[in-house]
Amino acid sequence: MIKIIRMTLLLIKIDFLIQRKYKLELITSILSKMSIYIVFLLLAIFTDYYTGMNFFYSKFILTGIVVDSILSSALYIPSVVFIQEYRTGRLDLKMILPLSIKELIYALTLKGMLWSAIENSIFIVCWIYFLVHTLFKSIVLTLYFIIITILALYSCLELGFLCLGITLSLEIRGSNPLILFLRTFFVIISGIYFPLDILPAYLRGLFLISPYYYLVNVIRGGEMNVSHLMTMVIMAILYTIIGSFSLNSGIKSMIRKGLWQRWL
Amino acid sequence: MRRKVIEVYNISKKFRKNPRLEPSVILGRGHWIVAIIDAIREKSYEYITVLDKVSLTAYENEILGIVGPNGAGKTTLFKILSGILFPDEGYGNILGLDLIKDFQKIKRVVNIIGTCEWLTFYEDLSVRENLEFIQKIYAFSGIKPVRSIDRVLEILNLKERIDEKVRKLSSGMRQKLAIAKCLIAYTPIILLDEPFRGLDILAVRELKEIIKNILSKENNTTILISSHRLSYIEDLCERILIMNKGKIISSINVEKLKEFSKKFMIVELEVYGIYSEILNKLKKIFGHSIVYAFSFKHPYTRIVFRVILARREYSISDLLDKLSKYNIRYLYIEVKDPILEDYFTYLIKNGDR
Repeated sequence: MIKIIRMTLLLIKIDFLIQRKYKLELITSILSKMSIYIVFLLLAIFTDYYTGMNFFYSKFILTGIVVDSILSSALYIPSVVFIQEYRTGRLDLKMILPLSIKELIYALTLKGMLWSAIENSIFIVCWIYFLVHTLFKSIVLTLYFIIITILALYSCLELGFLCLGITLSLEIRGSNPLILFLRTFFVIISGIYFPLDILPAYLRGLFLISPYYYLVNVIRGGEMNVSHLMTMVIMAILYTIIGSFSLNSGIKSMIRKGLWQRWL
Repeated sequence: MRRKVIEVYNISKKFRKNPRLEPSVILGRGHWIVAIIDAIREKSYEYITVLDKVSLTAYENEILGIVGPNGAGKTTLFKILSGILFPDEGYGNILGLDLIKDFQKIKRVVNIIGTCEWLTFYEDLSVRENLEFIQKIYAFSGIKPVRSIDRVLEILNLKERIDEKVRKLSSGMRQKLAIAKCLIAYTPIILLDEPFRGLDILAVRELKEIIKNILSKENNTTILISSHRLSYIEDLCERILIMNKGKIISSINVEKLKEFSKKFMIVELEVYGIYSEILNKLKKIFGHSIVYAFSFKHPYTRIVFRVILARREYSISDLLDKLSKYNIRYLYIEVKDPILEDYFTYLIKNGDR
């Protein structure tokens, strides 16, 4: 674990050294991330204005955006950072240095999460605002909020490793459609942008498997629910098992086929 | 008796013959469709054997050369030995570490310098920053540096370029930078895949000195060097393995070369005429013994032929008689002792027949 953290810090330092002249890139990435969601927010504000709903829709959409943005980033990060390393040709150098590929993937993911945190800074500020808001209700609820966030992030990362394993096995050098499918599926079954009531009955029960649901539920002022917590822990264990199985088989396939080497 | 550090038995590797489908530039996002089609059709693809039951042993502190023409399987063999590619068949171990089970641990004992490794450096970072990055990764894995970055660059005559960005270095300098990786930290085994590529004659000499005196003598490392030119490595290696079409076809040492020199001689002759005509005439005289023919681009010009002949079968007077019988007018003729390059060509030609 210490090795992974040290490796992550080194990779971050390298990124800073490379990007020393391109600090504007950070600002533009924050803005581009925002631009995706800004249309949603504007629509919600207009709806509130015309229906006189006192920011009901806006709050609903904003909470959805915060959860979608933070958790979807975790879902995308492992595949995105790996493919980026491959495309720039830096994967080759790291593959032949005395690092295990799994450690390298974890370090790259951690580094990707840091950059993603900067990209999502505005949404993280919103998350902190909601956290502080729960603090006024009770400390236990705040702790519950933090635990649910960590479990949801962890589950999404493990699902990200599942997708990366498939990316490695099938040698998908671009975007993996499974990630988009999972994200859209979770967004639909968790009531992120619309209430769960409008879903057909056979889809309503599926929220149990979605980490998005639990987090959005707490952010929207849901009370502490132990059964939710237990379900999340079980799902996180399940995602860990399938995520690490997929990643291990992906790495083995990658070494067997030798297709992810660019310059060697 | 020296300790065996690399033992590999009957390893084979096949690669797909058909090139991988690539999505078009316009539909560049179709990578996943291509990947799925590829996976479905995988069984119907043809495969080519890149390594065919290769067995080799390398001893402690030995410099072992591997020579072969392009596509002989040298790079694939090195990738397997460095734990970045699994063999399809066969087994082996490196310092007791299994090639497949311990592929992650192998990287701690084997240092590979790839063919185009100079392309993998961070181009926007300076020479020092790149080497610091490598040094730190070794340090994380518990491998202590044996030399400082300044000392390594001094050895490689790159000290003046220490703060220059890698993108500004020439390809030869980048190749030297790749070699720096071996000098920074100690690993018991070093694999050098075509290390002389892109280097001028002086740089080749410098690098040979580094390999011989620093990597081998000071560091006590086992070194495997591959090259498609025997002349680059013949004076470096104790043993040389010759590879062709995925197989090791021979192992040469100095004794074998002496034996070969006793049996064979080389006749070099420069002829003026039409290439194809003279080649046909020479084939009638010497059969398949022609090892080397060189002509300028113009078909009717001077051609240099290098022919391996058994010493017992031919005397110089026989040779001159036969040339005059077939009306071949030569500009010069010279009888020489064979060098390793001739032996290598002879083995490859005999393997083809």
